[in-house]
Amino acid sequence: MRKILRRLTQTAAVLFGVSVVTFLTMHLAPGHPLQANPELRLDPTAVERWLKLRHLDEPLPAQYVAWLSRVLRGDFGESLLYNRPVLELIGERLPSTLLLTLTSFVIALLLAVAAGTYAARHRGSTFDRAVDLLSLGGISLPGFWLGIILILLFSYRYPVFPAVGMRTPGDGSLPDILQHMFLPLCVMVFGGFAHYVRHVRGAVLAVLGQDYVRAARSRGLTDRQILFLHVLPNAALPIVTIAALSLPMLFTGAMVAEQVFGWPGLGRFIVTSLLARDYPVIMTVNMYTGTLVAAANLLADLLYLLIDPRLRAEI
Amino acid sequence: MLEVRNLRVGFRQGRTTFWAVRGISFQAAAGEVTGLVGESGSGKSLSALAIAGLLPAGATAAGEMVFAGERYPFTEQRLWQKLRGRRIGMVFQDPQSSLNPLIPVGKQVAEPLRLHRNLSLREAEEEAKKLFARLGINPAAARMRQYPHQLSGGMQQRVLLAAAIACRPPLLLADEPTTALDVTVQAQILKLLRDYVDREKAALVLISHDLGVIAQLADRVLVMCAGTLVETGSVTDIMSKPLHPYTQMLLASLPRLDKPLNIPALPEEEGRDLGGCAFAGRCPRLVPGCLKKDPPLITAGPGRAVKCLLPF
Amino acid sequence: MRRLLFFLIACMLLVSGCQKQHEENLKLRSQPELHFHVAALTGPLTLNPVLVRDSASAEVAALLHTTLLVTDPQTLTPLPRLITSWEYDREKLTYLFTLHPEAVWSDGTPITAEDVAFTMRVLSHPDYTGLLYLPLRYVLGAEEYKAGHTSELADGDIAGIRVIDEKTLSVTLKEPYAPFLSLLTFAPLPASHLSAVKVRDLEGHEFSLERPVTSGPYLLAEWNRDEYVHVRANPAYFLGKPALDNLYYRFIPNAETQLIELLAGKLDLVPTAVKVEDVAALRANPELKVYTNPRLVYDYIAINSKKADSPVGDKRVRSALAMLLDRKEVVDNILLGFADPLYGPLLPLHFAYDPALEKDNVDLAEARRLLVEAGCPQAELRLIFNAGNLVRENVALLFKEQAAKVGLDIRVSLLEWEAFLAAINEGDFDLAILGRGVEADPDLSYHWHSDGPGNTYGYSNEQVDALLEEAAALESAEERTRLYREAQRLIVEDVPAIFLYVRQAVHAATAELSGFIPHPENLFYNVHEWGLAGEGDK
Repeated sequence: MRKILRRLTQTAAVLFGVSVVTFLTMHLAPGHPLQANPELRLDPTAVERWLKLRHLDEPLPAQYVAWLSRVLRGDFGESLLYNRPVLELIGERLPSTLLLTLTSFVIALLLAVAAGTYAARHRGSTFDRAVDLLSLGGISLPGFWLGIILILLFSYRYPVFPAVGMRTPGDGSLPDILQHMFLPLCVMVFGGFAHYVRHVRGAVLAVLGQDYVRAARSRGLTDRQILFLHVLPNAALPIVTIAALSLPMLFTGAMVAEQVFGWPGLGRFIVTSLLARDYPVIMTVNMYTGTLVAAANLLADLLYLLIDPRLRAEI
Repeated sequence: MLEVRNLRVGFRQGRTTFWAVRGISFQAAAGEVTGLVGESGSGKSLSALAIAGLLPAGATAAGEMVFAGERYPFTEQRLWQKLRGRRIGMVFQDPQSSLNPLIPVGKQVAEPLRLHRNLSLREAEEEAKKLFARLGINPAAARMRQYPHQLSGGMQQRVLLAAAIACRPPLLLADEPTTALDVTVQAQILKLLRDYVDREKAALVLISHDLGVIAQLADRVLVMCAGTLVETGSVTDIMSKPLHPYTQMLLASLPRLDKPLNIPALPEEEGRDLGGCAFAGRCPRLVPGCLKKDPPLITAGPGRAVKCLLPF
Repeated sequence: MRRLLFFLIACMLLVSGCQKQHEENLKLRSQPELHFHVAALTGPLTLNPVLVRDSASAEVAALLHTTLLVTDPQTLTPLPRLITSWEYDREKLTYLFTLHPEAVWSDGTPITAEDVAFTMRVLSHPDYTGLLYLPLRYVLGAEEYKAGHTSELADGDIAGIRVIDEKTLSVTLKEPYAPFLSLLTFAPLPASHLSAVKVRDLEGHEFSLERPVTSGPYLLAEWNRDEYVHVRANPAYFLGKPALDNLYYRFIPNAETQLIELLAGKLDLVPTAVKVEDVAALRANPELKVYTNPRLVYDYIAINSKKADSPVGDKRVRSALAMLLDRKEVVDNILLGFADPLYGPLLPLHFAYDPALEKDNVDLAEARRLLVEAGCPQAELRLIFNAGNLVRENVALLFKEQAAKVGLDIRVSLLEWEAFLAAINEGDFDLAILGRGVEADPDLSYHWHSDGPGNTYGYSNEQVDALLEEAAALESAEERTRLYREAQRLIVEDVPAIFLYVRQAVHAATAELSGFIPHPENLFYNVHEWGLAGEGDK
């Protein structure tokens, strides 16, 4: 418990540091939000006015303090680009983001656990080699490229699935959304699977060589019982680490899928905001990701405790 | 009870197979402890694993065993599925690593009970608790809920033994059961093994590199060298009148328990490919005949055999 | 494993089955309605026509709002729209504007002269942060209003703006300014809804973000923030209800995907983002039609003559630099012909354009001679351009190659956008490849008058200043043309920049689309006249 408390204070300190660094780099880098397009004929007085109305003309320390005190009161400000509360902007994109990322994460992880375990138990088999090849492909093939290929194949050549967006304009029923989800999901599952399956296979292989697995066999347990009672729980430790580390990414969207398939997610929003110097959004996103990373680490630690009694003893 | 006939265990290396156990045959009687002794690498552990049906992937076995009147060819390892745990139990060398660190020990002991005797979880745990008490794992109820890392080495070995004998198998294999333990604990574990043999009239095959352990517990002794049995006999015969030079060397090195055996090491492949005696490369009594072919196993008295051209 | 696979397949079939049925339902229900899908790279940021800063917002604003005037897509001269007619009193410098009698807001109330007057006050208000103040600078009293108005509301009066009656407005200029009309291409705001809103609050107001009251050919049906804007034909539009009942402005961030969707029949129009390399293939497709039009943006090599000790401060060096590139070759080889070579500061669309300037005087020997004469036969120059623009990259390399032939060493550096902007702003370059948007009117003052707000590199020629001032005050197009041609000649002679080309916008649409007239400034210029030839099966 004390450990968790210490962890929370550490996290707060880190977040504070991150916020200062982000704030400084963001404001010291060349350019400001209204400068993004030099072909616009900006009236210099309008720019001044615009900056003044948003207190962007004040000295940086004052701006930072103002930002911090607002954040501590739970106010993350308004986007400079969209003129709407930042939390609202993130909030309205979160469900579509999570729908895609969480689904693909769960499917990829389940497939990886199944295939990785099978491959480990049949090491050197054709299946094992196929999984290895597939995962190599998934790691080295750019998702962008795969996405375009899938669109060409399944939206154009054989028009089975829609290529773009999350819903048919005016529709948005569940089947409609599922259909739109299919291709981006394929790309993401493939990428995730390729990544996870190597870890799963390695972890299961390591456990399969353990003495307690042989001991369990000596007691007459079947392969299936050994797998579920002894191998998988022990292999879960490294898998949980990998999974927990990918958690923050689930909440920040999938850039490639969103770009290629026009999926309305957070990734595109974040990149747009970065390019547009949307300071309040960038700051909030940084805090948000920072919190997520800390939360994911904490979650991983808690899961360890849940899984491994040896660690419980240390508390 | 158990008869092993011409057991061979090998590993495929490219196109050739390297035989680590090169055809051993012996019997283990019910109510008796059969000690299998030899230096490390002599193939005794592999022999035990083959008998328990636990050969690692990649190992091939040949020969057969007759167990409780039925034949089990070693090439058909799947036949062992119904033997393991139920009819054959096994205790391993390193109790720490042979217990699943994530599961309370009580559960691990109850596992085979539920599985083989169709007991409910409660019944199985009740049964396991009795076993714990009998093997001196006290207080049983509290110990049941503990995890392996919370137990001492001796307790861990008792747990492992409890799991192995939970279904009262008529054949128990113990592979270096006391090597990882200190001397006082060793004696307790050996006594528990003996108790089990006496109580259940079970056959125990005790594998050890340590003649001291063998002397304490075994009724009959098999001496193994480089994949073959070089001498067999009752424990008193072997201890008092060893015939094979290898046995004699093992005995000679006995007092220095903590040191490696004082036997010149030999690159493993060498002696075997010659087709002569397995010990020929290191034998002080070497005669030309030793290198020509494997010496025959000759009877040297009642229940006594030795594989040497010059046994004395 | 097999069971699981089977289950998945069954699920997918079920889903696609449902979908089919759903589509059929949709089709049945919407049989008489026309649906039209337009691609966009991004979504709009605001629905407020006077706060637009990006092209997507401008395009959506063009669907929802209607501008006072429009420019002719061929000649760029002002044409009536919401303002149906105007009279100009030369003596009083006053325009009398008449609004369309049937023009109404989406709430049913008429669009009035007061709405227009209010909008002009908003544009002149000190808290207004949009881009449209420019035309108001010439209105009598607007500058005073901007400097001295103290209320946070756009109330009060601008001296030169007077509401005559519900549909008539008079606007008095402070000085004669011919381009004034061509700048009235903004849309009015509904005064009755916004007059009580502080100008500073307009950007975040629900009118700008959620519930606009509009005057255009289409009404907002749904704005799905990251996916599409769905608009429905406005039955009360004063130029007649558009034929395309539903228009979907869909955000597809990837140009490749846009094309695939067009080919798959799920998009009807891909504007502007079409790549010239794809045009041949698209033209060969009988189901599609490719449109092109010149844009009001040109690329040029900016010369930083302000930079101390740079050889480009010498006019002879600049002249030599201008003799290196064959623009026709650039257009044909690098842009595959989808551009017009540019020789001066005006575009061929401008009525005052001077065709006499159209000649490439590539003369390496003369360039060499000029360089030697200027005393820098072996100068080293830094040429910058932004990453990600392949055309500019190729131009830069070609330029470097040509310059090497006359002994100049061009150091090409490709910069990321922000770094590029910073280098431009700090003047850390000799040459830079840039783009520049121009106005519909040929008035060159913005960039080329000594006091022009867009005169970034300090170009100053008293003769040019005088010509531009004189031309802006004249009404006659012929006379203005004469003066602007003279000014163009002088500017080209001074070589303040090397003009390169005007790229064409390339649009691909379904062959069924009728009535689409590509406009250099406004994609939806005549969207109310668009139709679909094969009506009914969309």
